[in-house]
Amino acid sequence: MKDQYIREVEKMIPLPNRAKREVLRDLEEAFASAAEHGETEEQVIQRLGSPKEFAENLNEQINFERFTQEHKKRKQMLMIICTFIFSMLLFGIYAVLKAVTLTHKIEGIIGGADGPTAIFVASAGVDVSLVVVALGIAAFAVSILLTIRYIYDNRNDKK
Amino acid sequence: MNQKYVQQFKKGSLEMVLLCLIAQKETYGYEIITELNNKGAAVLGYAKEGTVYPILYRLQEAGLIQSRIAPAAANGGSKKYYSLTEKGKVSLREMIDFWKDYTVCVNHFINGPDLKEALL
Repeated sequence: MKDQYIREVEKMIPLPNRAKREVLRDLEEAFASAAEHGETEEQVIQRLGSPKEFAENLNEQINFERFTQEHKKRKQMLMIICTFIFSMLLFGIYAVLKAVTLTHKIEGIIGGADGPTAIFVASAGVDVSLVVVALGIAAFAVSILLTIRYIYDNRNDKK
Repeated sequence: MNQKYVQQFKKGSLEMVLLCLIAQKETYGYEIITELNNKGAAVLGYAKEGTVYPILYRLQEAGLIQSRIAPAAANGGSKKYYSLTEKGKVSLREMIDFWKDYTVCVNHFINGPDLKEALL
């Protein structure tokens, strides 16, 4: 009966794990203290209200919405950082590719490499670096858009 | 009396009552409920864990009370002991001061010169 009650409360409180564990621990204590004083689990449940009522009382006091908001914020922030790092990585790769093709070209001009190899390297290099820089710009744009949304969302929160 | 009014009055004062209990000595959930019932049940109705626990969470979140968990000898489990923080002391003093002004103010209306006759 007690375990069933606590399990049902667990399902109904959308809190971060740590806060949730604390609430469930307190419920265990409530039952244990009552048992010490010779009370039955039914009596305790009557005072706690149904799992739904208990969750509603809790929500009224500590506002679950806020926790889910914070969770959403953290997720958005993580996405911004990830896309930003990804775009910087791609720009870095692009720079390396550019440097490599440049040195190849110089070698070509100087005449270090024979014709076909130089052409092969140059054409493949241009293709790949274009794709890389396009992806980099896309990722950067996404991170900017996410940042704008993040700022916009938070401004709405404050109202 | 209409339960709705009782609820409204309780809503405004239960927090302060809880702070008063916790301020007097470090105490835990069941003891708080028992004290509330011993001293206040006749007027406030029976205290319920379902109402009290959520308020305790909020008071703790607001930094007015703090808790520590200590093993409970009797049942092998643990008990969470609540005590007042410095911030809680300041807030409770303010609440009590306000409550006193508040009751004086309300009493002023209750003792209105023509009220007794009006309610006859």
